[in-house]
Parts: sequence; structure tokens; C-alpha cells
Amino acid sequence: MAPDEGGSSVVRELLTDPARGGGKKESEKGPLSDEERKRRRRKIVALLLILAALIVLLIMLLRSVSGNSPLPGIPSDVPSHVSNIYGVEQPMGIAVSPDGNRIYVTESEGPRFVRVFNSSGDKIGTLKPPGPKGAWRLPVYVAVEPNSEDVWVSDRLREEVDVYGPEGKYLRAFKPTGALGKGANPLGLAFGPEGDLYMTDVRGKRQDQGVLVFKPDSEKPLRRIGKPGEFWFPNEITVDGNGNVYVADSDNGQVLIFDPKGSLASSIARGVGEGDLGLPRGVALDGEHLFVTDTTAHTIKVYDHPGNVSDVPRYLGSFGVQGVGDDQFQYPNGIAVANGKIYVTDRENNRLQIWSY
Amino acid sequence: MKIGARAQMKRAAAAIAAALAMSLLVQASVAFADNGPHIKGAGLTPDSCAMCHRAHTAKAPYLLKESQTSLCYTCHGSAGTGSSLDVVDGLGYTEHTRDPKKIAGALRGGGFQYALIESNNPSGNGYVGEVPVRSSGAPVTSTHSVNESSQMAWGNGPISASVNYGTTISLTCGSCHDPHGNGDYRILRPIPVESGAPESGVTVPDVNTKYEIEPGRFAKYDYTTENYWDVEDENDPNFILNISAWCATCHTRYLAGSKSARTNSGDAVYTYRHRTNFTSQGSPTCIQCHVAHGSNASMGPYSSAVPFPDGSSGGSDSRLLRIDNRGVCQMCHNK
Amino acid sequence: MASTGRHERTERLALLALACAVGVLTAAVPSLADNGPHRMGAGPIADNCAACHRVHTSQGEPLLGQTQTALCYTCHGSSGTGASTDVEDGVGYSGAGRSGENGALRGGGFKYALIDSANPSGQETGYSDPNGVVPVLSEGQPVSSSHSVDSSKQTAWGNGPISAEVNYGKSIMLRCGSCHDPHGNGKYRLLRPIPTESGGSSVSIADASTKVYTTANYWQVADPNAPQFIEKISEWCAACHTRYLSSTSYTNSGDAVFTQRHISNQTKQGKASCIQCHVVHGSNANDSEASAGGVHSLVGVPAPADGYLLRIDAKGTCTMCHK
Repeated sequence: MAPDEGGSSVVRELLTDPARGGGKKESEKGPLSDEERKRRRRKIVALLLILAALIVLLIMLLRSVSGNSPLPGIPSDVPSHVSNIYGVEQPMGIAVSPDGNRIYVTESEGPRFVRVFNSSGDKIGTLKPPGPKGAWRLPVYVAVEPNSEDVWVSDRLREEVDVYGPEGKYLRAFKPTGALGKGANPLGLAFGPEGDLYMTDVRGKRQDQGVLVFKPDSEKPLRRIGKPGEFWFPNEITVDGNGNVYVADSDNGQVLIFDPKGSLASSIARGVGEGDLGLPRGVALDGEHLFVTDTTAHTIKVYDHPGNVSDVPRYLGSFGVQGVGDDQFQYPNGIAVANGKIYVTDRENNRLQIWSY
Repeated sequence: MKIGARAQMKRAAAAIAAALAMSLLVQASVAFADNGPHIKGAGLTPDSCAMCHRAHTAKAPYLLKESQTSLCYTCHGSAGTGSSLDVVDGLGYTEHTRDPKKIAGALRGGGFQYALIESNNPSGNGYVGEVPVRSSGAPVTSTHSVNESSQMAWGNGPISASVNYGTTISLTCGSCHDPHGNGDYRILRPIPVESGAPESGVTVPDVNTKYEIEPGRFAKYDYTTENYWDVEDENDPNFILNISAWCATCHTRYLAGSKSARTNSGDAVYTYRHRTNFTSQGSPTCIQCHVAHGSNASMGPYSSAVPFPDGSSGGSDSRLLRIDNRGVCQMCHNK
Repeated sequence: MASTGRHERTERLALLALACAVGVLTAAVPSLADNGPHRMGAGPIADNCAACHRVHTSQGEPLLGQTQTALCYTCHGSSGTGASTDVEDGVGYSGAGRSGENGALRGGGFKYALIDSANPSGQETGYSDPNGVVPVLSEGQPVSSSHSVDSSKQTAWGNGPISAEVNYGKSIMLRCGSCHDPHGNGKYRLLRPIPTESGGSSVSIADASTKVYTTANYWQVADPNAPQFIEKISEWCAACHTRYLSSTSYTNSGDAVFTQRHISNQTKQGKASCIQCHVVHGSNANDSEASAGGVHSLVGVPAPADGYLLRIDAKGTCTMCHK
């Protein structure tokens, strides 16, 4: 109430101050002249404008408390649109080097390259595996190994992961083997705090789909996360600094969160209520937020990143709606966070979008 | 409301939703013929609606209206990371480890951008024929265009003494397939959208039994093939029995009975016609010569010179044929 | 059920393997004797089907883009640019398509022919001398008779066995494909061993080593590149014209119509074979005398006003041998 009172007092003061008004003296002389009437009207307009400005300031203050301000410097729950990068056909996955200077985007149409952009959005190269002629390849998701900055790309057609050096040199194909790994169809990729590789596996039998964990130098998985039949086409995966694992369990319409031991700790469910999911494909984390691309809702949902892994992440809001405008999406898919920015592939608009707090 | 309490409520809600979803899935595996989210009779607490529809955040009335094919491709496209069927690349992801060529599986219908038909290498003839599977996809040379553009459904409509090529319709995935599930084979609509087929349409019933598609592996559906000349579905005899009639719901005048090749139909365009109303593998059904989605077959000079029914140039369009040039003729006629 | 399917598949594969083996053996014989799109054994991915056939939009049976003769004329007619033989005008070209030198087609033509039928000479010593001459015209003349190939029904004179009852022959539909096999068959001029609707028995004429379709002398009917042609052609013609084939000129056949017949079964140039006197497609020879007099005055059937496909005007054909 205090700001309100303050505002009222200012108005009262303005209305009664003779030095500022000067109208009292003239009004004593009898009926107002036209000129006086005009002057008074101007004063009233000026007063109303000041009042309106004060109200706007008040609303902004209130909003900054509740946390929805788009203004820089005032904390918000959802980021703002920064820019778009064009020149990719039906992009799916995205990853960014830790310094933000290399952006890797997979294409699912056209030549099906992994396109590499710098932070200014300039094309600086393409990655493709050796061998198959034409575009008989299908890079889907990509992850950057934080220490070596090697680039790992899952290929749905080739059913393997292609590994490139930071300069784009093709290093090797990584194809899961062993009892757990044989027959895997790699999809989502992420690196954990200990350097382990996490991979979603969408092999033919639904009960075998899940998450495989590797030491990157071995094609034999260390372990498997998820009970038989628990996942249905898990797409992107991400791991936080504590080793908790976040999986977009896409066709089940949920995000599953596992503790470092691989036990299911919490989840975000499918539904039509606020914060519920439709078809989650991408997941990414910054220090405070969990971002989930909801592909068929054409928006990115933002949750808090709970300190306690067993807490259900709290829904904070969403950014982007369906459309072709600069800050609108058509089937957003992959998401990555680096260097304070949020990168999203905007599949049907053939571009990637950059957002920031 | 305190955050903790909200979280608790959320968790409770999630648990209830999960329980409902589980019960639905259990039911589904028993009672429903369709696959994935395309389940007929989703019940009063449907979970699958939310996969495609958004009640509050959708812009268009049905969300799908603007870009149905994009939506389908979200799961079934080359970017499809939500389905074992990539109709763009003509690939089915299964555990067909028996395939020495490593390809997960070649979709029976071909693909919309790539297909895996080794169309230049047929052998045998008629019933005992083989059209092998390629090890990698080749760009298609003809497709059933599902980009919602206006196009001619050749032969649509009854026999006409005056020139009538067909009806212009707009084709999408949903023209032929019912995304809500209908219990029929491949969720094919008995009456494809805009086909103008009579009220009853043509139903291709699904068969609700599992069969062994390879030793130790049982499945209800096998979407892939290793021989593009083997067009029947061994698990569902209804397919080969009904498919020509079903195709003719749109391509009405392409359906022709015995002696049609030597009998004037009275139609100004579709005058003499190859018989197409057979109902068994190796016989002239529509599907024996043509794939449904897209083919990579290539056409030589004579075949490329064949115009569309209205006389417009066909160019290198392969007419969804399974074999290069007119190899489909040769499989039976071997001239 | 599943295992049955697998057995079937195995059986099918076995049959397939067998079929492949047979295919390989057959393919080893280099016998692509035919020309152009009419190639026997067009192979499993043949393109040339589409040159003629339309599977669903055919305008002529059997599944042809047009009626058969019109279709053949697309390449082989006056306006055809797809073949070196123009059977309408009776002209053949030495090069592919309509290129090179033109010449006179051995069979005459369906609209025009280049037979200088008024100027025969030679064969001075009668039928013991094979060396007669019927020169070639430099410009085609309208034909006076032809084998009608418009798909209409007409009498195949003499078709059928000797009959004491009057029987002129049966009515059949004639078109290009009645005699020629457009799919190629490795035989001389793609001639069907049994012409369609003929009811005859099979006569197969081996193809020429080199195909020469033109002639400079319409009395020289043997094909030096295909010895079997002159040996078997009478027998082949008799598939339709059964009762015209005769081994003697002096015997009553017992037939009510074709009772006394000129010998026609000879197998050498200059001798009495069908082809020695007649061309096969059409002739410009003028036989007004015969038409008026009714050489083939069949009982109850008026003689057609045409040249009977003869190579020489009037009775010139007879006088080549019968001085």
C-alpha cells in the first residue's frame, strides 16, 4: 500500500500547490477565459500522464517481485528472445561448446549435415561421417565432450554414434557392444560430471528401450537405467552437476528424473494442465532452470531445478508459441544451454533460436 | 500456496495420472488393434490426446489443420524419433538382425523421400518373384504426394463417355490413415477423405493375433519386407483380399475385372484396362505392381515418354512402380 | 502358420534359384535376333513395354496406346520417324530412323508401292531360268491391292481343309500383329509361326544373318541372307490360305471351290512359290483384265477389283514362265 499512498500524495500536492498551478488567482477574477480553460486542461492532461507513468512503474515493481519482468537486470522465470540463425534444414539436435563459440546443429532433411556455426551465427563448417554417398545418414542428437571438446553425434540410419574432433576431423564410429549394448539404437547423448557418456537407446522392442551409461573409451555399457518397458522413445538426456539424470521420455509424454544411482526420483507428467507435457523431446539445464521442449505444443516449458532430486520440478512458465515470427516455434525439438544462452532447434521453421535471461 | 504443498499435490496428481495411463495401456495391449497413440476407443481418461492436441496452446482449431504432415513426421519422418516407422526414408526400425545388410528394415510401402527397393534387380516371375532390398536408400522418383497440395486422383469417379480424368483433391497422411485409430489394417480409412467412395467404403480388417516374424520374435505387425515382390501380409489375409478395392475408393476406374483388357469400358480415358481385381499374391492387384508411399524405381526413355492420363508429361515419374521401367510387366509376361 | 509361411518362402526361394539358373543358361545364347523395340527377351527391367502399352488408359486392345495398326504406323507409317521401314509407302531406308538412302520394300506397301509392274523381263527360258527382272519405280504409285490390316473381319481365302461343300475360307480379323509378333520372336521378320486366328500349324522361318528390307528387282524374291525364307514361305502363307498350297497342277483336289490349283509349294527362286507371284503387303500392279474377267471367280463371290497382290500387271506374272 505504501507506493499507492505515495502516489496519491504526490497527486494531491500537485493539485493544491499554488506556485505550480497559478490558477487560483485568476479564477477569483470571475468566469474563466478560453485561454485559461485550455491551460487548465493541459495541466490536467500532464497530471494524468504523470499518474499513468507512476502506475506503470508500480506494476513493473510488482512484477519484478513476482518475477515476470522482461526488462534486463530484473530477474525473470522465462528468458527473452535474442536472435535466430538460419541455414539448416529441419534441424533436430543442438549442442554448443562450453565457451559458446561453436554451435553444432543436426539436419534431418537436405544434405543431412551437422552444421557448425560460430557465436555470431556464421557458418564455419559441416560434419559428416565418411562412407555413405548422398545423404544416406541421419544425424539426430549431438553432445560436446566438455574436456576434449570432441563432438558426438548419434545417427539414426547408421545406428551408431560418430565422433569428431573439435576441429571437425572424423575420429571414429562408436557402436555399443556387449550384453547391454548390442543392438542399441543410439539417440540422445549427454556427458555426466565424471565424464561418463549417457545415451538413450530406442531399439525396436519397447521393453528394451532405456538409457545406457558408458565410459567414453569403451563401447561396452557400464549399466542400464530404467526398468523394462519404462521408456517409450526417450529422446534427449541431460545430467546435472550432482549426477542426476533427466530424460525426455517422449512418447510417454513425461520427463523422468533419476538419481545418480539410476533410481527414479521424480517426474513431470503428460497432461493438459499447466506445466503438463505433450510430446517432450529436448531437455537442458542451467544452474537454476530445467528447460523442456514440448514439440507438439510449440513451446519451451521452464521449471525450477530443484535442489532435492526427489522434488517435482516447479513449473515457472513457458516461452514461445506456435508461429513463424522471430520468437515463435514450429515443432521445436532439441535444446542446449551454454555461456548463459539457450539454443533451440525450430524444426519446421528451418532455423535455430537463441534466447537469454 | 506453499511450494511444498503444491509439489505434494502435483505428485499425487502425477501418481493418479500414471495409474490411469497404466490401466489404459494394459487395456490397450489386450483390446485394441491399433498401435502407438493411434488407439481406437481411448476411453474417458485418454492419455494419448495430449500427444498431438493441445487444448489451450494450439493456434488452429484442430492444431493439425495447418501442417498435418509435419505433425506426422514428428514421429514418422526422417526426424522421427518417436516411432519405429520412418516413412520419409522408407525404413522400419526393428531388430531384424538377420538382415546381412544391416538395414533395420525396408518399409513395405517404400518411402516419401528415400526408398530401399532394389528395383533394377528383379528375378523370377509372377508368384515366385523377388525384388530385393537395397542396402541404402535411393531418392524416390514418385510418391503419393502428401503435402496437401491440390492434385488429381486419377480415375476417380464412375465410367464416363466424356473425357474425365478424375477429381482434384488435397492429399495428406490423414487422407488415408485415421490417426485416432479405427481398428483396421494400418488404420486405413474405409472411405479415404475426399475419395467420394460410397457410404460403406472398403474396410481392410486388422487381424489381432501375433505371429512369429523371426525365430523367437512375435509381433502383430511386420511393417518391413525383404522382398518387394512379396506383397501379401502373411499375418493378415484381409490385406491382399481387399487392397485393390480399397485403392479404387480413390482410383475408381483403375479397378477392372476379367476381359477388361479386350473390352471397351465405355470410358473416354480409361478405355481398355489391365485386370486389377485379383486377390492373391503374384496376381495383378494394385499393390503387386505399385507401392503406396514412394518408389525409387528409375524410368528409361520409353517409360519416361508415357504421359499422365490427361496427356501431360510424366517425365521421370516412376508411377510408384516396384521395378525399373516396365519390369512389373515382365515379371508375369516375360516378353 | 508362421512356420508354414517360412516353408513356403524356402520353397519359393528354391524355385527362384532354379528359375535363375535357367535364366542364366538361356541368357547365355546370344539370340537378340530382332530389331528395335521388338526384342525377344527384353529382360526383367524392360523399358520398351511402355513404348506401346498403357496398362490403365489404353485406347485399343490389347492394352495399346492406340489401335494396333495406328500404333505400328507411329513408327512404320508415312509420318513415322521411328523406324527405317515405311510400310505405308513401301519405302525402306538404309540408315536408322528415316536416314540414309531410300529403297523399295520387298513386300511393297499398304498405300503406295514402287513396283515397276509394267516392265518385267527375263526368265527367257521359262521356269528353268530363275533370273527375271521386275524393276523398281523411282516414285510410288497407289496400290491396287493390299493385305487389309485395318482390324476388320475379312475372308482368309482358302482357309481350312479340303471341303466337298462350298467353303471359301473363314472370316478373320487382320492387322499387323496377325502375322508379325511385335514382342520379337527371333524369327524372320518377326513372323509368327502360327498367324493369329489362322488355325494353321507352326512354320518357323529362321532369321536373316543380315537384315535387308529393300530390293532393286521385284522378281528376285529369295533372301540371300535367309535361305529358309524361300524354302518355307509357301508353307507359311498356307497357314491362312490352306488350300492354296498345292504340290501339283493336274489333280482334282476334291474341294468344291479350290478344285484345280497351280502348283505353289516350290522352294527356289524363279519357281512357283506364293511369293514368286505375290507381294505380301500391297502392290500397285494393274490387273484390270483379271478384275474384269474374274480370275478367281469363286462361285457366288464377285471378283474384287484389285491386283491380287501380284508383282506384274495383267497376265505378265504368268508369262514370266509360260512363254
